[in-house]
Amino acid sequence: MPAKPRREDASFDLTSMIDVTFLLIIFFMCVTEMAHIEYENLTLPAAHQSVKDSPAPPRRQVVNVRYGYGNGPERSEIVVRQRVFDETNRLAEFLREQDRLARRQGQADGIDVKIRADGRAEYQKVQQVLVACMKAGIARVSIGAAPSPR
Amino acid sequence: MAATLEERFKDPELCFTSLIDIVFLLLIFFMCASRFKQVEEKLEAFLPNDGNRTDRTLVLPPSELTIFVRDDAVMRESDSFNIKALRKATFYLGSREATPVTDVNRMLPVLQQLAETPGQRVLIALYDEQAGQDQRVPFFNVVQVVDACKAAGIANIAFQAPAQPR
Repeated sequence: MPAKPRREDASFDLTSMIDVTFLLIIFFMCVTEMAHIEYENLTLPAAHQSVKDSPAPPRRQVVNVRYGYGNGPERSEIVVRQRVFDETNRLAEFLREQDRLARRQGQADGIDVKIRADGRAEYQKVQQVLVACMKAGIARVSIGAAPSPR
Repeated sequence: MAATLEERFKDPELCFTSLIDIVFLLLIFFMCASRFKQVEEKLEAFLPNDGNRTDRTLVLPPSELTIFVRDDAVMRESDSFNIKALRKATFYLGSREATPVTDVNRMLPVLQQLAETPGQRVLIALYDEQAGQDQRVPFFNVVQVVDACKAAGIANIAFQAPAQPR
């Protein structure tokens, strides 16, 4: 009596694929978290004469001016490390403190300030940041811009 | 019916189908939720280091050009939809009575002539500084002025502080 042909189930090992998928998930989870600390999501204005921003100065404070979040007709607000500053004096005090900390840690020139303002934000709000920098005694200020084809 | 010897010593099997489905859903979620870092550049500026002095009467250098920026939007922002991107600015070179300029490129010849003399400074100021004015100058217009100054070769660019403390 001929032997019945044995049916073999087609199967493949998915273990490696699950490992790689978990690695990808962990990678994207970590990358997403790190991107939000200092840099707010906004649209920088384009400029032709802007220069490369890397490597970043050792002690730099990023001040964001985002659009579409504030109350009232201005709809712009100043955000530093996810903290909103309504008054110029408070921002000046914060920057002065950061500058003092940097000098105490050996940075003789103090801090640089980078103003990342949305292109649609009101210039009056950026003026407040500039005034706060002046009050804090910070002279080196740069304005964030999106690269534009020259 | 008693289990056969083969069935009794068969390796326990786990069904991974649901796990793979959930894992792929999570992966797609994080791929969509994460954003690529925007390549950024910068425009350098230097502020006068005057500490806590709020006096706006600065000693002007011998030659300085003030560029007044004015909100010249045709349409106003409404609550129903955002048309902020359509707001434009008008530029006045030297004084508020000067001929208004809407295209920044038309300022280049004046700025290039200014740049020929060393020590020139450009001061960017608002046309209407009184509190309560419904003048909202979008920041990208000011960046256009800074960009034009740098293209003309003027490195000394200053920003006038607002008239009233905020």
